Amino acid sequence: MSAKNKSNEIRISRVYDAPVSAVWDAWTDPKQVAQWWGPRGFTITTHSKDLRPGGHWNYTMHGPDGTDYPNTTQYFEVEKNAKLVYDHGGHEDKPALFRVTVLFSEVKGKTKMEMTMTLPTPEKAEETRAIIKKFGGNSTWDRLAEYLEKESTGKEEFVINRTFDAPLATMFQMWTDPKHFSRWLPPTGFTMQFIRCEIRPGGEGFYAMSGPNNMKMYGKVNYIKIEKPDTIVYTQQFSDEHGNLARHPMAPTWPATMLTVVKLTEEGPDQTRVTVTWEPYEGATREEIDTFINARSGMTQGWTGSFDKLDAYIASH
Amino acid sequence: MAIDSLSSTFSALADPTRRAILARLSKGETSVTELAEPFAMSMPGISKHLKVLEKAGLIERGREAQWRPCRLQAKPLKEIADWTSQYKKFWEESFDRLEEYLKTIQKPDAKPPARKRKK
Repeated sequence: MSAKNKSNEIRISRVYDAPVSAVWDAWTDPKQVAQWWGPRGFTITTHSKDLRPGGHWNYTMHGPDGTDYPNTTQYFEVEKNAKLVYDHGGHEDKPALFRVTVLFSEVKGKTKMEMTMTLPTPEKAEETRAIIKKFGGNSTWDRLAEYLEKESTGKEEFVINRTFDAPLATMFQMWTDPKHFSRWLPPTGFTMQFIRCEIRPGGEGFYAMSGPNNMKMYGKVNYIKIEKPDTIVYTQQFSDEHGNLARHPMAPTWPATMLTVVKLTEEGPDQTRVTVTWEPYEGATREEIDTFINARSGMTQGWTGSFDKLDAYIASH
Repeated sequence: MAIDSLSSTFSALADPTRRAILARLSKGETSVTELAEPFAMSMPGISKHLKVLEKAGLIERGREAQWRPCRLQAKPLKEIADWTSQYKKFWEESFDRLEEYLKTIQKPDAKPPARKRKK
């Protein structure tokens, strides 16, 4: 088990492809923060915000199942485009859960965001990690990436980050060695067979996924970039058994070609964070893009959560 | 279920006003006037949206004499939810499987443990 810097601290580090002023504004402007703050499926309402040392941000988080979570953030340090220190999770008489220090720095047009959450004890830190995991709290930082991309380029993309307990080189192999990715990529119950496999920039993979009930689906992967130690970029398409471009049988307007960008970041000798960006490939039609956006807003607005209410409504009519 | 019903549902949802209308209807049926209220939009404007939603089978219009209430039809939305939850889960589940797989291949550790039983 690798030793973390301080076991009562939770650290999050992200790099955003945006200037530091854009990231700062996204954090501090109530209209902007409302568009990404919180795990996927959550929305927020800001009641008041006073961004200065001693000031408060009063807001309510609305969960996908309809539960409301009132929050009061108290600010201690506010340095524009550089630093924020605040207490999180308190409200009225309820004391704050933890103190947060966020540092922003810009290098070559990209912003590094480093957050440290300080808990009173290592046990509390473990508890908080579990709560964050349960609510999908780390997806907040993915939502920020999606928001910033949409603001600066208009592009709609899906971002997911996860840290794995494995060294960088191993993680790179997970994507570039078919012996490995055929073991974790296919959905449970499916196996992957390669009809063609050239894992190099410009190379192509053609594979079949066999599932229960003799179900068979075909797909093609075209590698655009494979850069050791940390970058893999490829497009993905559905195809028929002859390798001709096909559509997903259930949704003919789902983008025919999706672009996946995989970036690996070393967070320790045995820890790697994987960042996947997923978007319709250039040349996608307006209809395909809208289909993707709606599926994504389904993911972010938590349509699935509202169905419990819908089912109840329908059952009562 | 027609294979194309997902596409027509997706394009019906491709508008924030229509999504907001559906969100309001999920709270209960209501009149067109009430639906139009939150939007700075004319009645013909709202009616256009309602026609799209009706064509996609997402709402139905009642036939009561004095007013035609709009009601939400959940089936197409449920189909979308099933579809989108696949994609919501797609990467999460891929990563879950990757995590499990890494555990199996990293078990024969490079670092020898303090005491190891010889076979």
